[in-house]
Amino acid sequence: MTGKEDSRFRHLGRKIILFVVMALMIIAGVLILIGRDQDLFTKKYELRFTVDKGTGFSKGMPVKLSGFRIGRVSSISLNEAAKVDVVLQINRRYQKWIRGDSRAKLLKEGLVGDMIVDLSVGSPTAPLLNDQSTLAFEKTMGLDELASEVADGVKPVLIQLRDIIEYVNDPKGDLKQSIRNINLLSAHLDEIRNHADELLTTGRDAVSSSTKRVDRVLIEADNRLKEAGPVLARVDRISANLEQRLPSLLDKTDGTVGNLLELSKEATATSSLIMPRVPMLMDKVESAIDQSNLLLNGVSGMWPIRNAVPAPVQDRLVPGDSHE
Amino acid sequence: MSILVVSLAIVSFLLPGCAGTRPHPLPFAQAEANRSNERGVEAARRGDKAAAVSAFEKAYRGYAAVEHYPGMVTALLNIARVSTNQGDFAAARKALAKARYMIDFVPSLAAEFSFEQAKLLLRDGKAAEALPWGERALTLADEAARGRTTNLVADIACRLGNRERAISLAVTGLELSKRAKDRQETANAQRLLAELALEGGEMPMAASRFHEALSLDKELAASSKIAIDLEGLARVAEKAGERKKAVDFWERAANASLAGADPASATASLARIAEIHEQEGDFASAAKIRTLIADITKNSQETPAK
Repeated sequence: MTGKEDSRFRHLGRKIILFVVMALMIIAGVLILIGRDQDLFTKKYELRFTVDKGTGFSKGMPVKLSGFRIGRVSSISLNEAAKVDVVLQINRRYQKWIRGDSRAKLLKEGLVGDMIVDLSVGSPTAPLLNDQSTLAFEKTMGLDELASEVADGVKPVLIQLRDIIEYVNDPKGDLKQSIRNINLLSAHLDEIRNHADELLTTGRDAVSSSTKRVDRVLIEADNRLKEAGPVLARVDRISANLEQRLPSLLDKTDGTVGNLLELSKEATATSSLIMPRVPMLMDKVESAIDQSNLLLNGVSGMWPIRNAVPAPVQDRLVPGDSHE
Repeated sequence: MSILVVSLAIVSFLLPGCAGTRPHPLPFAQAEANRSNERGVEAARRGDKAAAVSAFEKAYRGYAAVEHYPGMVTALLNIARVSTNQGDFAAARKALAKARYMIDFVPSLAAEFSFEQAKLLLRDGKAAEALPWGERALTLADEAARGRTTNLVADIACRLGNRERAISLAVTGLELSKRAKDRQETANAQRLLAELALEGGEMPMAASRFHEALSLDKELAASSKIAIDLEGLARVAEKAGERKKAVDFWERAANASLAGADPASATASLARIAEIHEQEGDFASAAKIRTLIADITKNSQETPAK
């Protein structure tokens, strides 16, 4: 051994103590951090609710408020009524938001996320929930229930869809027949188009010939109008002549009409004299005829005249003819 | 002398009831029906068949109103006769069917009813059914109707192929008709005997009988029967091999039919002429005749019959 000591080993004890203290401090620091993360140092209180089935719940399941973790499920147990009591451990600092009208729901975070207990924020007017208070639970539909509900809703739609498909697919149905007819129609379209072309051509020719004829007629009409000029002039002269002579003609006509009126008045007067006597005359004539009949009947019944008068023939037959 | 005549005249006027009783006047309804019947008979005589049927129908209604069966049956028989002449056999059958229900009440008209029934059945080609009616008519017929009825039964026998009986009856009918001075039935009997002779191959006899019938029908101005007689003479001439004569008769028959407003018979006669020409090889004449037939047919279709 040398007389001098290694400098590295000078104050070794202190160094070791320092190292251990530092390590312990780091460990403590880590433990504190872990504890803080696990909310070990925060004050908590408990809330509970009861559900029919514990399916989906698990111990340690996060409890969230507005998407923020505020606690965890501390216990799940079956009560005397065969229902499930769930106890939540909530950080006290969030107590102010959990009120009497808050609701707990079992949710899945996202489509494939973990199940959580979601608490709704209570209204400020509702009372605060203290430790060991009961929270209202809002039942949410499970996946199978959702699927069943969706199936019930979808089923009639599927049935209708099936009917529609059957209707569409029916070879004797309206749709298929219409499609068939459209096909036939489209097959004939070319022919129809050709016919239409022919008709158009024919129509065009007809219009063109009609136009030519109209032109000829117009020329003819023009010529006639020119010829009509002298005729119209003559008509003018005649009407002027007539104008001069018309008043005298009208005077004469007046006179004639006046005479006719006089005549009709006389005829009316005469008939008014005669008409009352006509029924009387008719009576006399009828009576004269009746008396003549009586006289003739009487004479025809007298001997020897009645022998010459043929007796009224009764029930005479048309002569028969054997030739068929 | 003159005083005597005047006295006798005065006495005859003073004794109106001496020579018998005055007949009672008929009730008005019956008298009216009578007058309608008379008008119908007159119209039938004039050839106005439509007016005749109308008058007889009015007479029937008048008689039916007073249930006068003899009048009703008379009117129905008259309707049947005129309808048969007009070619309206359905109306004739209907009238006879109606009369059948009343004939038991009017035995005096049973003969006429049976006569018409036989004639209608013969027209329908039912000669076998017509025969009993014809014989019944013959049994019940009076003197005036016997000739006519005998002729009808002779015709029925001819249609049934009983030639012997037909000839015998036709001869009897001829005698009875001549005795009754019934020119129409005399002509009918002559015609029937002519047909029977033609059937039997007795051409001269057939021709003679047809000529007799023709002269009587001309006296009576029965145009349809004149045409039939001429057709008969044409057939006789054809059978005797006298084609020119046959054509002449066919032509006359066609003219008579056309004049009598019977284009169907006229075209039948002309068709026969065309056939004769064709048989002789004269196709040009035949073609002309056929053109004429077509014209007549067309005109008859365009102009409705009266």
